[in-house]
Amino acid sequence: MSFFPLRAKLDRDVAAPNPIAERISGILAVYLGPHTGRVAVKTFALKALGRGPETLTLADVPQLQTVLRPMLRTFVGRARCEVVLREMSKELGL
Amino acid sequence: MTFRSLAAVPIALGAVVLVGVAAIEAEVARTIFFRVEVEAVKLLALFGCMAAAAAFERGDYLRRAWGLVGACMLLLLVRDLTIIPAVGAALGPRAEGIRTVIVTVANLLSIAGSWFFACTWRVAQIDLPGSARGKRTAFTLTALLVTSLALYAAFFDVQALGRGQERAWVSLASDAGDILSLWFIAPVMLTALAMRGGLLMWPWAFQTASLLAWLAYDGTVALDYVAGAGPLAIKTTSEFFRALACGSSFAAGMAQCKVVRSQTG
Repeated sequence: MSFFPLRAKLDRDVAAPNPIAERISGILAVYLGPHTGRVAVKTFALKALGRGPETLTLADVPQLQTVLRPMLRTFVGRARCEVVLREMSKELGL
Repeated sequence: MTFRSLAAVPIALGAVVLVGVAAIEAEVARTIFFRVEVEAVKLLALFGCMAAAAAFERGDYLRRAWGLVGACMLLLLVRDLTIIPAVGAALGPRAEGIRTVIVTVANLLSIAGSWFFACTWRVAQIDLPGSARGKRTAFTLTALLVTSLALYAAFFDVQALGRGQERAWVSLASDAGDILSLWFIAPVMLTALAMRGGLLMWPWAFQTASLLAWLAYDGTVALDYVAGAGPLAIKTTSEFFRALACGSSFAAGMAQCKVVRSQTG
């Protein structure tokens, strides 16, 4: 039982963070900042998979990377984009 | 060069203008100082834009944007070459017409480049901060502010044209270009805001600073009428803002270069 009952209630109501989504948004945050990094994972997960980031599994990552590629290419160019995606795969052990 | 030291570049350039004007009393020396300053800051901006364009590969979206803004700077430098007395004499009576054409093309390139920057968030399919209504309001207010400032400047150019000053065509072309380029301040600024906390915040924040400084540069035309400032005060203020704008453009290009070539992944 938490000392702060409201905080404990909020913790129960909020979906548990998905570690894969967190790590991907963490990598994107280096370039896009934490807010846009998080939003990008959410937007592109919905676009590519039709599901929210909380449902991401390792098997979804290549598909997510495919839809993240044009966005990253636009901002950092083709070469840097591929470095970021490789880094992402490495970080997730793919 | 760190991002923070890049931020010092436009401030240092602005300070050089102010200190230079304060230190130089002879009018001829001051004219030479301003000419050297104008060309130096334009060269810096050109270098920054071209470095950023070169950091990208052929076909990359932002390579085009940086390349277009850089090409604008290059043409403005070419235009300045035509005011060298020997070059002006060689061009003869066509000199003013040639200058107008060069400045018009330079402004068209700048508009195209700014358009590419402003559309980046759409191309990348990211969301800008704020509600749809808030974004619309920001875009509209910026467009109104920029248009009224540039129209104010254009009013004096039209008056000068009426007095038979042919070189006012160059300023008029520049005003028209400024209206269209500076309309894009809002999306560029919102992109910088969206990137806060990330490496990309830096080039976008510098780019925003550059556009805002160009807006202030255009606004200095009002100093004479609003504040009753003399020609030297107006010239100093406009050169201060030009130095800030070009310095920020240099910083933006170098920051973009740094992000694209960074080893952080």
